[in-house]
Amino acid sequence: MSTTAPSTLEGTWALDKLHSTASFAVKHMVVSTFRTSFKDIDATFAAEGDAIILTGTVPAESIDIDQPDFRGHLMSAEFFDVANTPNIEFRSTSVRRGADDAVQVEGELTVKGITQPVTATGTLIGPVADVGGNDRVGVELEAVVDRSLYDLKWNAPLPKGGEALGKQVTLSVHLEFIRQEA
Amino acid sequence: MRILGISGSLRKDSHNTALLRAAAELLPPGAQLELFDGLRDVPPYDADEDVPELHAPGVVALKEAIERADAVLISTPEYNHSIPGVLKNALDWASRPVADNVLRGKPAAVIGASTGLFGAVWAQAEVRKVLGAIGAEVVDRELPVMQAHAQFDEYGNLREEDLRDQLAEHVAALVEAAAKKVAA
Repeated sequence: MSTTAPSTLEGTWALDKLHSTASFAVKHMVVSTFRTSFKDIDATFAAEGDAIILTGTVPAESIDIDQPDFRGHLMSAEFFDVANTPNIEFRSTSVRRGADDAVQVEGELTVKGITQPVTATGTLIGPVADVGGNDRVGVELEAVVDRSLYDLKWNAPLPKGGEALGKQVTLSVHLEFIRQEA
Repeated sequence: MRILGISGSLRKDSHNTALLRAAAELLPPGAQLELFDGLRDVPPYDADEDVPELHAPGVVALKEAIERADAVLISTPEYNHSIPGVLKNALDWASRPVADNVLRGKPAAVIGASTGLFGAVWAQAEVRKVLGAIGAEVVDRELPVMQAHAQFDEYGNLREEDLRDQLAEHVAALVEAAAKKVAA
């Protein structure tokens, strides 16, 4: 039995949710960084010829924060306003592969019902065959967005100067896709 | 050296009381922390009752505890970006009479914990402001302990070494201020 390394991305790929994460980091209290992730993410990856389309959806309420007051503040209209805009969505408009697995993805990110263009960079690795015989591809991307453009404007001046929460938010996704049967 | 710890929370499993217990473990040699547990017994401030013969036992206990201490360490929660009423009320009682209240010239430091992202930083600033107005010698430092529900292990120790170090530095600054006072 022999396995040939699959060389093409052609086709549709489904997210391996167990091995994928979507997270963000934001400066807070001027000096430190707060990070958390979303528990429920979905994404699709499809390639046709040279064109790759990447999409993703994250329910804001799946944020990995359990403390009720903290969570309540984030779900409120001061942040994600989940009652009116439950999902964070992304759709690529261009995926360009560079040397050494590098990739640059341009697309539209929708948060709180507001869509803005965003550019993410990272790596696109694969496809590789896993031990179970499935073809896998890994996409790791990072983008920095200004949260105020999405009407996530809450802030407060700190007693010793500076703002409570940074404006720039670093978004990171680590996505693993499995090839679907044609 | 006696440090009086006052937690601004009455809750049995208060994170701020836990923070004071953690602070007690980090005091330099020769300093002890006594935890004040009578905040619930301090009645609402009433100037009509603010004469020594009418003071409630809770008020007497508070003032005596502060008087006995060389320094005061307050750990405050944050309610609506400010000081819990019960703590502000106790400070109001302690602030009288203005000229020679038990906090005047007393070294005092403030720490705080909250379950959110900001560690009661605004309440701490307000407690420092109030202590300054009362005439205490306030250590100008803050120690915001955020996401307090996740910061302590089952023995009540702070999980993060950085935070333990910061708390140790904070109480050391208070002890140093108190030592200067005692030596003077």
